[in-house]
Amino acid sequence: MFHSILAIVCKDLLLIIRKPMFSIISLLVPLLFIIFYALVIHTSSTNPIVIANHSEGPYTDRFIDILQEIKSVEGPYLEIITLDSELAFEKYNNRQVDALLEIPKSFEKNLSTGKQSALKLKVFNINSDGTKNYQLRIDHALYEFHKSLNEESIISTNEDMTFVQDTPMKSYVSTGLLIFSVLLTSMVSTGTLMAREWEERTAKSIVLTPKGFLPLIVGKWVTAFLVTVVNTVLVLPLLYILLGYPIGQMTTLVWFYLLLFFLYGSAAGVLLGVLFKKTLPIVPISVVIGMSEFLVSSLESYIRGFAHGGMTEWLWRLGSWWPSSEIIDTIRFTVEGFEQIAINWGALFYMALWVGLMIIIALIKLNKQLSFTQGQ
Amino acid sequence: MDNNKLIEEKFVVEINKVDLIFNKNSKKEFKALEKLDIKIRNGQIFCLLGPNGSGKTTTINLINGLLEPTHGDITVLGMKPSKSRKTVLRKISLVPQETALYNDLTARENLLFHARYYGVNRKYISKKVDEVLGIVQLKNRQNDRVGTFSGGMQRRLALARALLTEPEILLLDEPTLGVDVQSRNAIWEQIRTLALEGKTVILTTNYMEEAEALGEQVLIIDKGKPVKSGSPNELKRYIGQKQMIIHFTDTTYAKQVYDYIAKDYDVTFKGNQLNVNTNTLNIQFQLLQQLSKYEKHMSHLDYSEPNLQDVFLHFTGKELRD
Ligand SMILES: Nc1ncnc2c1ncn2[C@@H]1O[C@H](COP(=O)(O)OP(=O)(O)OP(=O)(O)O)[C@@H](O)[C@H]1O
Ligand SMILES: [Mg+2]
Repeated sequence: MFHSILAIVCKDLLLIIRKPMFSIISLLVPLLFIIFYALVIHTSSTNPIVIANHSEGPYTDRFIDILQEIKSVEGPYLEIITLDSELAFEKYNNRQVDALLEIPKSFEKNLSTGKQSALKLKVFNINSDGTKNYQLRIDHALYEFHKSLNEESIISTNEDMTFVQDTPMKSYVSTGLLIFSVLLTSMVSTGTLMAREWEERTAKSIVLTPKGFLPLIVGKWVTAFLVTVVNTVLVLPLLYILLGYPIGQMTTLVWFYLLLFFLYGSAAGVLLGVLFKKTLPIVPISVVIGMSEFLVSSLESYIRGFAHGGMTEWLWRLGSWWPSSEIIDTIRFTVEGFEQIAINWGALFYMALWVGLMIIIALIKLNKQLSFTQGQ
Repeated sequence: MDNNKLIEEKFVVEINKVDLIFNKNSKKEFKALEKLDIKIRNGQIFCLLGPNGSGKTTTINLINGLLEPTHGDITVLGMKPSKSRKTVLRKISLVPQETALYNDLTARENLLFHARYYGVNRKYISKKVDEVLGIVQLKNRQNDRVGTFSGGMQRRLALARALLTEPEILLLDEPTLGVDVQSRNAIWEQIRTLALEGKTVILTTNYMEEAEALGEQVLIIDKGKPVKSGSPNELKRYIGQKQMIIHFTDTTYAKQVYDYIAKDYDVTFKGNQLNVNTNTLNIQFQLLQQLSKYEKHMSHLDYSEPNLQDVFLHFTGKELRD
């Protein structure tokens, strides 16, 4: 078994060196993507917020009107989902929105008597971009409100952040890009290595040895693993230079999570290889899968901030159910050094289940395909 | 010694009333083999002759265990290939129709890879590779990429790969497909030598010359059904049809003679020539005596023997190859 696996690995590495096109593509796509991403700055639009309002009266109404009115050229600053206190807390605690503004009962009375009053802003500060957005927008609302009252700083806000510290946006995105790179490389290399055996019609002579196809697939996985390690080693410095990714903080656990993503990608690669039996379609399809993972699951906790209604919400729901989303957040917490969520056993189990399922489906498909004549 | 004898008396490959149906119970159901019966003796060259799509590769895949019969049974060296797959695969080697070589590896690298994957003892791999390269006479090209090889060289290399593992039974699926005459003769010679060394060779072909040149036992199949089997000579004798071809100086004489002998002989009239089926020497003498009075109008005589093409035509009513 060992010698058979070694034979596959040596042969495939030799073939990769002689025909490096697919390996170059699987390296270039994430590199270009990272560079473009670092250059192109995103824009933020309306941010949803829930308001737990305990106060009643003309001052309160005017303040809420202002919260609703303030806008930029892109649209309103804030979208108020509810004013009902109970519903507001429920939505915030279920992580359906990232921010909650609490208006205390004393608000109306204090203002009418010219006394100081304090609001409470709770933010799930998964990334600095979201946090900053809420802080600036509420500040702006207060500025407008003070102006209309001809007062100065009669109202203050107390902030309550979920995490001690924000994840910097650059680093937030970097984790997603890293996962994208690992997934894409493992998918493309495993997929093309598998498909090549059909394309060159060489699968049959391997299957018809007493060793069967198991060393073949293990050999492919080992080769793809080596290629993925090389790619990752090239991608990490780029992430560090362009986006300041804290590569020093990547613990063993983070590497283990990356290994899970490698297994996920290579199982998907085997499936693609068996399904298409051609190398060419595998590259674009892997790019689509990798991009979707990046945009939907790696940005899930970011999209949540503005996923209310329409396609975005639908996409976010998909992302929140997808096994990799929570693991990617866990990686972020780990590299940022947030100890409280270092190991999320539930998410880990879910992800491991998903990867295991993919591998089993891939093996079943492969077994079916290889124990059957190829019609020639 | 005793063991060998046992195998000799039994058949190394036995296929009994096998049907093979692809996609059974679906719309795409297709009967690829029907009531196939094959018995192959140890050390024999067995040849499966049939046109494209007749089920040759399917039969090969039954023997190597990639396919299981829908009905009937098959044993290879006394075992069911789909059940005792590993043991059977240790004793047989296949040269697939598509050669299955890596074009971007050299000839030597291809062989080394296969030997390593198969698990040939590492100590002997290099020697073994040298040996098989010698057999197929590709030693001087061993470090060239297979992609630069001619079709004939690729087939020879695929044969070399099959020999690496010292099989008892060689399965050759169309070993000379798309190969020029010289390469073909070289491959035939190698196959004969292997059979002389005691290997059982099972080959498929749609060249009747190949079946005639190599096959000790030939089975003609068409549309998955066995048509006729026997040695090439038996098959030809079966349809008889040794013909005497009499050429006349003029069509009118040919016509005259035709009218004269048509009631006694199986004869066809073609311009200034008559083709008479004359299976025994006796009939030939008799005919020539009867025709002695036409001697001065006859220009010359030819004899023709039937070939497998005629056999195929006789049993299926169509040509073997278009
Ligand atoms: N996996 C399969 N599924 C369905 N039909 C198949 C399959 N494999 C072969 N066939 C059909 O079975 C028939 C016999 O195919 P086979 O490959 O055995 O022919 P062959 O005699 O080897 O032909 P050729 O000379 O072209 O190689 C063909 O009609 C083919 O289309
Ligand atoms: Mg065939």
